[in-house]
Amino acid sequence: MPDTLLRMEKICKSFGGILALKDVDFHLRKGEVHGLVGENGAGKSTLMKILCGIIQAERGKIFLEDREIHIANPHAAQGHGIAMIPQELLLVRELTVMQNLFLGRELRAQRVFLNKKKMREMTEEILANLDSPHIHPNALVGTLPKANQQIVAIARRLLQKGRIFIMDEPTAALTQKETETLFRIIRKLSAAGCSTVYISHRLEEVLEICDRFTVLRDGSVVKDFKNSAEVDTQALICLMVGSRIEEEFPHSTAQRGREVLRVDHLAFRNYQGALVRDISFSIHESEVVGITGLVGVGKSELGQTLMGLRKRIAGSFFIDARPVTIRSPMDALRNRIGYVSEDRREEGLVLALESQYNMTLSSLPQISTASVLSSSRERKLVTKFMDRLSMKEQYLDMEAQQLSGGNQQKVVILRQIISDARIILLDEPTKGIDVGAKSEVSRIIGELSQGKKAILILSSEPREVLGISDIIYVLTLTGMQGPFKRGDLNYSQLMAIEFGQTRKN
Amino acid sequence: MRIRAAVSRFHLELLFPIIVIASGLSVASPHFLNLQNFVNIGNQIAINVIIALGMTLLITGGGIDLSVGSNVALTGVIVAQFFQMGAHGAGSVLLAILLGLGVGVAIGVVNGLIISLLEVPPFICTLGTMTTLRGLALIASNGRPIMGMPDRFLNVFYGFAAGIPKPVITALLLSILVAFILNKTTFGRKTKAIGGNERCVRVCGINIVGMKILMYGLVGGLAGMAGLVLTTTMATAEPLAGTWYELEAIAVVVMGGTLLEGGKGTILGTLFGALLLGLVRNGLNLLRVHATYHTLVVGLLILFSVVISSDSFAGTTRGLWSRIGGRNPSKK
Repeated sequence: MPDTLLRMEKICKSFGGILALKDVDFHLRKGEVHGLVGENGAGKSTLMKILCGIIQAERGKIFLEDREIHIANPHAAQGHGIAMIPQELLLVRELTVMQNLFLGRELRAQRVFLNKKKMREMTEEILANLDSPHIHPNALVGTLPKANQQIVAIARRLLQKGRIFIMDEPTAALTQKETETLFRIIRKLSAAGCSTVYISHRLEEVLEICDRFTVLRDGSVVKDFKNSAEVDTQALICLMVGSRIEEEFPHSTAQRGREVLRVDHLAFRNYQGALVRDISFSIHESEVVGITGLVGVGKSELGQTLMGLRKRIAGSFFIDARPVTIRSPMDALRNRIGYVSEDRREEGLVLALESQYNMTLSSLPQISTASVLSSSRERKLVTKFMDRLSMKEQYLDMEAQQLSGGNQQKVVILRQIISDARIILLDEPTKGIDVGAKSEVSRIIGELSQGKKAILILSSEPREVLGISDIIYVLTLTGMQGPFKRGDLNYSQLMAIEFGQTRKN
Repeated sequence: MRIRAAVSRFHLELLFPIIVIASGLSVASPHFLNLQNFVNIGNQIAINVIIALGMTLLITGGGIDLSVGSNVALTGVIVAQFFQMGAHGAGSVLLAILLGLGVGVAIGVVNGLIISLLEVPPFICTLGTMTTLRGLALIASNGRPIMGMPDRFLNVFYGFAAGIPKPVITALLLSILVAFILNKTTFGRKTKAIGGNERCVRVCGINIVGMKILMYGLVGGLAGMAGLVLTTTMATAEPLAGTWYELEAIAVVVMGGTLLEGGKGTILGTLFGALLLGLVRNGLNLLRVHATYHTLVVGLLILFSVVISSDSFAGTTRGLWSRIGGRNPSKK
């Protein structure tokens, strides 16, 4: 193709034996806006990381204007004009716009002194070209609204002679109006001959701004096609999802008991500071409730608010129909709420401590008299529950950091069981665990609910949620959908809700 | 192999240099193997040990306290002034001891509150209290040493009991107590966990603020005790007492094998560390090494021990310690 700017051919990459990208072909034309679409885990980030030199492909070639290139590191990528603008933007908040634009490549006058005048002129010129003369070169980046920070990030890349812009979820924190401004700028970039790779879960936007799409599923390209009137979000979803065999997840068949936890109109802020509101749901004894949604929608933050780790802005909690206040994990423990954090290593375990001691951390009163520990009581308590999770005894005296991911997760779950929690929250319970351990953890979760416990799962893996949960809620940017009974919702329908297509009642 | 495992498990690594130096000294100096000499060594290291016990616990819990030296001085001064104000009689001794311990604990609690509630890093906070307390000690004593405390009081920690110097008995009893606390109580377990991963312990529903106040309070109390022992054995309360004590305590703790980043701690190791330091100092005296060289030697000893026990040393050059003690480098 004469106007192909970038060609990635037969790219393969695996992580620890799992194939993340299989013979992926990606063609980017000059001046086009190309949407890269796919579910979580489809391979979009991996492909872009290879393009930016952050990781290396195992097989495959990359051609820039028909010349083969090797992108060994981010610096090399930059040299080829490949510019990644991640969600975090990578700007120094304490420096001014002008300083950020020229960071690392400051213009000098007579070798030693900074040529501030020239830099300022160029800053103003670039910002004007981006339709943003209102952004002041001397403004501290940290004081600018997100949308303007994004423009500064784009400007910086332009200055670095960027030709290929990769934007990852650029509109996540933008208002409608700011999104329109961004789209105008992207079109200007196209007019100037730059190409943009647009990665987003907001399918309506993708359809609006992109000229072409590449849809990835499970590491392979499903289709690569032009945007036209016939293409709509339904079509995209079908391609992303395909027809798949519903995986068999073991789940409990216990009858659900009475209501244990009710959350009413909860509101909190997510990681980006946006307000998530009107979250209401309830969990019963012997029931598994799954809350799913796209990454970044606020699931983990929901769990944190429930545990008192995040500030509750509005709403109330009821346990056994009594109102309770949870302002810290101590309150949560008192109300017998257990928590299996998303980040095992940072929040779930004391890595240098033996597994057994990790398991009893929330149950110290039960294994001590007048603060004096009883090692026999401790051992007895731990071995009582060990077999149910097929945890081997020799792991007990090993430091937690020496265990595999799956076993580490079991240790954290055991801690909740040993502390006799009635409500157990699991945030991304099978994240970072190999396939074999995944199904084991799923089985354990199912068993837990049989023991009259109320389980809440927060997960971005829709198949996991569909497989284990009795009741499903979907958290989207527009609010919370549900409850859906297990069996009432299939995979495609779930995807449709997550991507904001239909409202299912 | 079993010896190696035992040495590592019980933190006996320092025994080797201790035996070597002790043997060397017995040969090099006729005054070493002498009861009076051992009494001297014991008395000299007792105070360091008392402080280092608290420091071991605190460092295991991820904290640090630079104000213990000033704590020692202020405690001594306040107790001495208590007697200057005319306290006398049998009850006054008990009151004085409670006062001393109380001052120490109070200082520790203040440190704990600042660190846990105001979230000031321990190093910075205790650096500030260290200087503040020193200033208070100078003011409370008018910048001069205070004497004239009743014998009844001085004899609490001065002299011998059953043939063993009282400071040594005090240090040993406290060692057993603190070792028990660290290894056999829920407080000790929580301390180790907090030092290992404070975030996780918080998520587990444990009262971190309460724990920190207790940890620093305990360190302060032990420093107060050290102040009492020092004041009674010297029969003087000096506003400038305790200078460098905090650094010696930290040195001895780290030499003994407690990791500076927290999570693991050994009282026995600390005791050995103090003993090693005491022996080296004693040796320098007996061998008539000029006083100006003492500081250098002690500094080199500390550096040497810390380097040898560090992971990078054990990993890259199969270090002496690894060969003897089989100490595990931490896993990645």
